[in-house]
Amino acid sequence: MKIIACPLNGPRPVSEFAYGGEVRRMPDPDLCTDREWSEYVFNRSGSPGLKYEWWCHIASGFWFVALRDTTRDVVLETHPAEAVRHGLALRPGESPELVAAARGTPSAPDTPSARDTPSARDTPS
Amino acid sequence: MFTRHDALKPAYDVVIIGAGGHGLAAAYYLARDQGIRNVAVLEKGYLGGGNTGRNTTIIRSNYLTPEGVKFYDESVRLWQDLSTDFDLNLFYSTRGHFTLAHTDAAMRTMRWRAEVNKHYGVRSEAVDADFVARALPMMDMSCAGHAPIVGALFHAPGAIARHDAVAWGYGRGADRRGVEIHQQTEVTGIRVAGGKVVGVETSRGAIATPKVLCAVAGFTPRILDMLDLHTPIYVHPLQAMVSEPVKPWLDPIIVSGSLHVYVSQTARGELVMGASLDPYELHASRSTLDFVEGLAAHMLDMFPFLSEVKVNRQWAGLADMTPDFAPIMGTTPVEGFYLDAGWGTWGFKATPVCGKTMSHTVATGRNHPLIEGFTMERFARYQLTGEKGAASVGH
Repeated sequence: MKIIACPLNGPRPVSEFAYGGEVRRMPDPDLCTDREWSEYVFNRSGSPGLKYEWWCHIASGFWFVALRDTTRDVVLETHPAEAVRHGLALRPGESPELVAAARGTPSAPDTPSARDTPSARDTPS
Repeated sequence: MFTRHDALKPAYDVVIIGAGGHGLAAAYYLARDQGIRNVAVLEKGYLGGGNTGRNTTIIRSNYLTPEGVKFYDESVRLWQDLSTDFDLNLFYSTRGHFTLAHTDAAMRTMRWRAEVNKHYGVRSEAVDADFVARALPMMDMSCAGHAPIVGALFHAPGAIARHDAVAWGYGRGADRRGVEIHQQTEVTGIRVAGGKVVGVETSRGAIATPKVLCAVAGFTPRILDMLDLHTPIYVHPLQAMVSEPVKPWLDPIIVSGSLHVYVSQTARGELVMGASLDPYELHASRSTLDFVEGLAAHMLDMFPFLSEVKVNRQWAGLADMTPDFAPIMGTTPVEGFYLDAGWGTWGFKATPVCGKTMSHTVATGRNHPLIEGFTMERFARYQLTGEKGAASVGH
């Protein structure tokens, strides 16, 4: 993969991007067990396959989600960050409403900014 | 060099997945020291074709944590006699190892490592810039003006060795003692009954066995998926490159965390060079121009006179990384399934001690004391063994 088609900036060299890791769903830290929390913090799905990943175009500070084949190193799709809020990269059987209900909160985005600012979890989407 | 086996037997006492250095070392010590010889080592590719044949061959024990220092020191001890044990020249060469410090913060880490090392009897010293300049008169101590060297951690026992030969030596030693090595044999499934391992499925048939040791580095998550085991392991490529042979000019091994460079010169005169991990997950050992350009630029910061030397070859391996830069070793929640993984970019030097400790663990069913800091359980307990300061460059 030498060029990524950034949703905002168009095709740019891969060196202009930072890799943000796989899109993962954070359990509610107030409701989950310590073990469940440690699994969220540390465990990864390490095997090859198609993965939804966070990518950032460094110069413009623009975050987006890419579906990439991690064996062939090919980006198949790109999505805006908001797509995660609306159900992108949910595990099979999950729905945004289900996740929100389990947490007792309105659907909240699992975006990097939401992780960094705890208060953002409680604001309605 | 190795016995050819036409078919797998229906059953073995132990099956080892992966005929790299770690897997073959475990087989060797199982046969030689634990008296367990009814062992099959299954390799989906060719012997030593994974990370064992792709690393930059540096051996050292100048780590940061007590668990790490004791573990790697035992490894260096075992390395000393290996050529004699194998009756095979490993070209083991003690060169001395410099971890360069370009900032005061880095120097603080070097002093910390030196003190922990000395506490456990490992010969490491924090040295100043003059010491480095005297040992490396050809180095640009200002590193092109933007990263001046303020000192280093000097580790006298630092060494290099012929990486392929280690796999051949352990393999031949195991083979001579009755271990069966089966190449071109891929494990496709692991059978479990009542929470215990009962066998493995392979591309050449099924085997019954109560004990499986998995030592497959970057392929670990695929094997763990067969047992629905979850770990922090994530896989990124690690690239390396080698120059044309030149006359001997570099005695010690040099590492710079700030410049993300490590380099040594082989007995044939080639410069073997490496840098940081690739920046994103990928399960392919492809090489990039980005890597060779970046590493060459930093090499020239330190050694500008190399500008006309040619890069001969570049390659990559798949590094199975962990969040604390320490491995994952020992027993697992599945009885009879043992793991030697999470070796990331720091596994070659540990080949002998991994073989020793994993063979003990597999034979007795209990973790060897030296690997207690590396259990899979440590993440659930938030008790990481933090070796990020000493295990790798460019993180």
